[in-house]
Amino acid sequence: MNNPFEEPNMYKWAEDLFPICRSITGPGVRETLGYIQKLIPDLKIHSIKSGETVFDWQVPLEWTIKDAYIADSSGEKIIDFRVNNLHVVSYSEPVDRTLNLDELQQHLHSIPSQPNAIPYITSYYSLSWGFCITEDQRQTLKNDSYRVVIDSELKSGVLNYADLVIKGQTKKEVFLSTYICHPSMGNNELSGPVVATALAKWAQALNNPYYTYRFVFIPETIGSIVYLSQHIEHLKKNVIGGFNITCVGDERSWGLVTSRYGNNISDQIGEYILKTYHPNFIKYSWLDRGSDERQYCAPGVDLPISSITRSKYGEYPEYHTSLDNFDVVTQKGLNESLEIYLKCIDIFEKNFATYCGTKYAVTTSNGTTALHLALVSFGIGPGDEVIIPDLTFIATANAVKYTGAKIVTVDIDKDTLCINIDEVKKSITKNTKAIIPVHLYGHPAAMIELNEIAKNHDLIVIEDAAEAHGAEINSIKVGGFGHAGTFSFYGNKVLTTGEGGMVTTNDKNIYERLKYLRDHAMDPDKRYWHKELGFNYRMTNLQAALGVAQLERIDEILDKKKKIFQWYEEQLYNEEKIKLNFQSDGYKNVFWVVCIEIKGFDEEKRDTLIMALKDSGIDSRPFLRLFALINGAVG
Amino acid sequence: MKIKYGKQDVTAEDIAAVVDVLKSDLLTQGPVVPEFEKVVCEFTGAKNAIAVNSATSALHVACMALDLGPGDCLWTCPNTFVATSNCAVYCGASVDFVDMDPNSYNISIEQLKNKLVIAEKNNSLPKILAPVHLSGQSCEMQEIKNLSEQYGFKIIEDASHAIGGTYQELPVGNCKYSDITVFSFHPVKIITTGEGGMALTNNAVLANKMRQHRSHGVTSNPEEMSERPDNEIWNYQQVCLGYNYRMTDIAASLGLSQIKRLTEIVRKRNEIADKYNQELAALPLQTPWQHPDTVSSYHLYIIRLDLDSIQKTQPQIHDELIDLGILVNLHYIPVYRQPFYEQMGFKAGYCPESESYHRDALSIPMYPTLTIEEQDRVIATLKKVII
Repeated sequence: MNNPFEEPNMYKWAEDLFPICRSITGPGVRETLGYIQKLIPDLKIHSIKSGETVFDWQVPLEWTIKDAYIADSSGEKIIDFRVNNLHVVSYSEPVDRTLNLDELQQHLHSIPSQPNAIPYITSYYSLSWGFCITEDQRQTLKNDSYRVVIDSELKSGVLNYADLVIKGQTKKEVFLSTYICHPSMGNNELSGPVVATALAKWAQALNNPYYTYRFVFIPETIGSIVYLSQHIEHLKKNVIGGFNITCVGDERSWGLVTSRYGNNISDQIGEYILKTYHPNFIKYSWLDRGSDERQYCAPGVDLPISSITRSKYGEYPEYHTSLDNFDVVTQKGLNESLEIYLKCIDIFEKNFATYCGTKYAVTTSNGTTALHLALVSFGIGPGDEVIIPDLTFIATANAVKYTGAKIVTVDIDKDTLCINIDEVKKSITKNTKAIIPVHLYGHPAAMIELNEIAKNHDLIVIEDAAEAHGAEINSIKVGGFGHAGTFSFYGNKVLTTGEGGMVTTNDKNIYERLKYLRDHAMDPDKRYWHKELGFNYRMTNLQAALGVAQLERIDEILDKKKKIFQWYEEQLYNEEKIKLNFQSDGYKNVFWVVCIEIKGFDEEKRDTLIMALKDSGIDSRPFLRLFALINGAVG
Repeated sequence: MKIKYGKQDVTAEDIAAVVDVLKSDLLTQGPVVPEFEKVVCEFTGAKNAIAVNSATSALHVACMALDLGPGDCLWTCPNTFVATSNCAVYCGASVDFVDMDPNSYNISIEQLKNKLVIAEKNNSLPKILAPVHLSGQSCEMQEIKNLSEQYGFKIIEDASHAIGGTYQELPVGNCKYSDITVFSFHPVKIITTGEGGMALTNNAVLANKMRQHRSHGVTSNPEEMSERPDNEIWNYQQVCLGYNYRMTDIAASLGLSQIKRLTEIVRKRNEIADKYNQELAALPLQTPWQHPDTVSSYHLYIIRLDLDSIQKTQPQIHDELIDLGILVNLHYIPVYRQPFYEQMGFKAGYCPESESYHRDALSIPMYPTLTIEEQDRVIATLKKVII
């Protein structure tokens, strides 16, 4: 981490919040959210009325509990809610009756195998009442008459939840959710909100973060359903990753609960970080789900959310009992969890796919193999035609040639030097399968127009962004406009890994194909088993380490390139004589190289200039060659 | 702790060499790749070396340099990684397989002879033969070379496992009996560059073609370019369809540093093999036989299980060893049994020796940093599982 962050108060917050009797609605939730709001004043507390329909659920009545006890015939309170709020079944309806022991037993809950634990029981949706006691105490109950009193109220009110949005440079969000709905329990309740609160404080302290951060504090299940019902479209559009934070307070184990398919970026990051720092972690699948990932990763929602836990709900003996207390949760456990979540978020910030705003990215050995792999992944082959601009590096054409498809070159736009849209339209035939626009020298091609054409003709668009890392159209980065984007990390590129490449895509199937074909088409589940022809286009970890470090500095690098361009522009631009790189409205050119066109110059004069510059020790190059001028290269 | 079947050995000196390149002006296409190539030439005695980003790429540029294309056929041994045959498919050529020798696990000279006689009659001789030096032991190259002269095919030695080994007391890679030799520098191999490979040849024309194919089919040598107007700059020309298979200077610096220890590494691997040979001798398995003409670099130590006396299946033994932390592996499934090759019409039973090998072979841990204690544990565990 660039800025190590610690939060020594998490344990104290948990202690303060412990006695509050929370349920999915009611004053316990409000009090808890109020406490957290004092720690992060920008937290917004919201409410939704009882009875409101959220998807196919209904917001339940609000539950208030004032008192609850069982007294024996002598009037002694043998069980008292004021001693431990787990004693009363959550959402119990009011009752005031006298019962014999047999009748009472019908309403008691205990755990024979854990005789000293008070279980935690709820009954939100079927009206009932009950008490939870230790098995030890239950065994001592005598035949007697018992007065049972539950002074509760179930009435139309509200369900409360809270969120905090910390705006970043991009609308793309990292989503962090935790729940606040269990009474006095440590690991499976308070560890989540206190670690989330610490993370929120960390995110607030960031100076101009790249991503927007959304923190959500909700009652479990119904809360995430409510939240999704109100924000689903926004979340589906903008959330690039995140975590459901629960059970993060003890020191005994580590776990990862993946999303439904277990392959989104948060799953990958969680798995990578745990493998690196806690290799004995337990990997659970979505089948082991039990918290809000049920909603966030449900079919049709599919937010890229994963969950890193310590001892996971349902997997440790104190779970959902009074024993889940401060013997389980420790400041050290909380600190370690915070640290791991910060490491994960750090990777989001440094990840190339998220940088480009795409769901997936696959490294390759270089930009040429990235293009070839992308074309093969889309099934481009003999008989197909692929349209490329006439002005680009030969790799764009060669990659098409490798597949056996026919290369169709079209002219460029005289200003942007990128593929000319009208020429593309003229070149489409019934055999055209794909277009490869090249973001030449760092200026994005006209992707919006190209996508329109591609849509109308059912064509694949692969952006050749080898020279344009970080270039944008309307604040959206290249690499995410087409069906795939390819990048180069060659030594002279915006970012380098020596040699290196990357394919970005939002298409999960293509992502899987890319990874598979890159590694000799080896079956992911069966080593040395090959159903088709693949390649060795792998990037080494050695290269990737360099790339990760370079990506951290990309803003700095792009700022510097812009500055260099501006220096040239100030000194050289002359409407009559010298034209420099173009920048269309709404487009962000990254000025990979600065190019000048001198009016009235012919090739002889140009070459004289190049030689003169060379004599002064300054390197310059002619533009790339037009394919039309290279015999035999096209066809 | 788990013991892997192989792993790299990277020293502080190796890391320092890599860092030096990262601090230099050129990360790729700089001076270190040619230097690495030169050192490998010196080590092997080959005249030319072309470093590339993987052995798969090396095999591919080798096939392209030998003009392998549609209508041609490459023969290899089925007991290899798929890359040996895939490189021919990349070129549009077909592939055929010659069964292995039951002793050396390399290509059987007898089978090769028989197949060549038939192929000559059917007019289906191969354009290229790619013998594979499995586990680091050279094939019988002199015999293969004699056959190539008789039948007119070219030879690519797939020595991915075998840098540091010798044949007739000369280093593998010297190309005395072949047109091209290919090395791999994947981390599991004898020395590593991360990913990496190399093609060696004594033929300057082939070397030049491979250099072009390694870098987009581009040349900067004016003599190789077609004529262009004098008043235009042609600082490079694409003269054929090439790929980007370049090795970086970063990767080459690692290889250059590692190769200094190559002799020592191969010696260490042979020591480990000697200990296995002795201590496994009495077990119901076959230790690797060595041809008297060869010294193996021992990339792999392959045992063949006597399943009849062990009374367990090979997968059972494999799984039990893995459960006990000995991460054994199997090299290889006969290539033609891969679904991709079965689609071409190859059927089970085609190369019976290779299939029988596939049913009873295992690669057990072999790498230079394997300690005596670890090796003792491997041997003890193996005994426990198979006796």
